[in-house]
Amino acid sequence: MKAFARRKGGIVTSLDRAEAELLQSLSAQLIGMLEPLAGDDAAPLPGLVIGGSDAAPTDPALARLLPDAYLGDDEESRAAARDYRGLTESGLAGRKSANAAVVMSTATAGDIRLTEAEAQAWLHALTDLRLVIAERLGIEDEGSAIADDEEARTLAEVYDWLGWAQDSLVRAVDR
Amino acid sequence: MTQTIEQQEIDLDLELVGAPNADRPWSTVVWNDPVNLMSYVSYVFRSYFGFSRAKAEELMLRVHTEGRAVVATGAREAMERHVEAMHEYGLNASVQKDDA
Repeated sequence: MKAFARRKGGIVTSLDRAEAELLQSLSAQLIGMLEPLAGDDAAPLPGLVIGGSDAAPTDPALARLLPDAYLGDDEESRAAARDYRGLTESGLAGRKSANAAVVMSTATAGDIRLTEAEAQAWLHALTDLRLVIAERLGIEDEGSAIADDEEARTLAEVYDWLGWAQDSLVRAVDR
Repeated sequence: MTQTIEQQEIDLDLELVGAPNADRPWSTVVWNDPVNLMSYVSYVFRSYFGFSRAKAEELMLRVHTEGRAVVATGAREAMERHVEAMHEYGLNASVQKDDA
């Protein structure tokens, strides 16, 4: 993968086949996590769909993607967090899923060119992928050690690569 | 007489001090996490809130070093919209009362 760059008409990079397949596979998994919580597109008023759950997801990675908006331990805060989640969760999950779908459809092997909107979707989705992988790796603070097994090492490499890609995309979008 | 006038002045002072807080009792707090890149957090603060580069960097560094920063204050509904946007960007954020 080359660093992202801003060219006339879009944000460009190039991916080899393995990178494209990895991004598509990760995006598909992210969509699979979010889809059960996302609103129904066929609803009469998309975007106004109400139907979020009233508690944070039990999967810690999903809970990190859809965190509580009120953190206090008192009953008032817990009620506010429930109400907020009920109103926003399905919409937020749907938008995150849609961002990942943009990565799935645009992460192809070879040279790729992203519109500004697609680049924004990539920025969001790369962040969400890194948040999920960090949870799986047990990264809790800046000094967290990665488990010393083959699977964790591979996942840590993917995590670092996504971080590099995202940093290069921020720089390209930002100029 | 004197007593009454002093009493009024004190009340007036209290109102002047209290008024700005009454209008802005809610805040949007962004929390540090070990995942998000400093370049990205600063970019989000500029592109979403429209902060200058200097202000965005200052807030990003405050999140990084102090663990959290208040990035906006105002009406509760507005803070909830900000928090939803931060969550969409993948930043950890919460609505808090009386924390300007």
